[in-house]
Amino acid sequence: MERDKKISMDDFRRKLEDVINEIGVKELTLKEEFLKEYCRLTGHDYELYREKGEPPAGFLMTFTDPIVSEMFLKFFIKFPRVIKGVIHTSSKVEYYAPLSLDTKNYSENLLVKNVEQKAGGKGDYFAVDFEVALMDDQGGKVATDAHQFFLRV
Amino acid sequence: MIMGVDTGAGFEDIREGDRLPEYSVRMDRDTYFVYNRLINNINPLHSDEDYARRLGFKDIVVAGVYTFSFIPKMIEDWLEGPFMIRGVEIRYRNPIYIGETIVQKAHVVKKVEEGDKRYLKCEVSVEDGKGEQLTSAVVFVDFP
Repeated sequence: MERDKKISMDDFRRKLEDVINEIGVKELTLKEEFLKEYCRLTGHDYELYREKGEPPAGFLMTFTDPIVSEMFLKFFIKFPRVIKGVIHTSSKVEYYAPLSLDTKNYSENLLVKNVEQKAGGKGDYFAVDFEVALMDDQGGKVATDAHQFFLRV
Repeated sequence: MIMGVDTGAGFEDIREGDRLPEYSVRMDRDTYFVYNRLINNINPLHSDEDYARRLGFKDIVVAGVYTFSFIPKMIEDWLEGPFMIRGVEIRYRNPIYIGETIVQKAHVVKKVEEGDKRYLKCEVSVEDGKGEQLTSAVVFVDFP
């Protein structure tokens, strides 16, 4: 049965990269209603940020999240029963330019930066470092958003 | 040494050791579930109590993508004048559970003013009501 097979680190990384390559570059639109709802749910004063013409810095991860969610969803569909649990352990966000409310269209891509195999009390897992790069409509890098997840297999 | 609390701080007034005003927020279930729908969060760890318990957690775990929002917020709420948050490094050390009230404590660990380089390094500790650290973060803020 597939669920009982141990997956190698190289095979796991290849599977992740397959899914990421399938997604490719993802287009994102900065929608006012989405930002307004984000501000409401996180206690940010939307009007203040609208006047500044920039979303709050904390919005970045919410904005870039779709490519990470899509990667996991596609992985679960394409390779069912391989990942049994996902735990987010760290993030590193670097801003090169502020997101602008005047720039509606952004794009993002996802990379696997590192995979390490670990053994834990509840079974094997992989520590995977992903990096999302966010670009503006001129191709300028706006931010990178790196995450480490422990993926139990 | 942790010094006095500043409010509405500008770069010139800030000293190493200054504490930021504490920031508390409750991980309200209804609000968080609306947020999960907003971002189409599909990880059952963030929505399914039984699943979370099967993985060994005591309740639904609030996603880092949501709790991240509040870290730059406390810096933005504190500072005055032009600035730009340049980077945030976070370690999610212990789970933040739905319904929990988190307390964010922060202080300035470094103030740099060298030529046209002006920035602050702040450390943030996110704790539960008993003072246990749940998340730690370092935030870098640039000033013109």
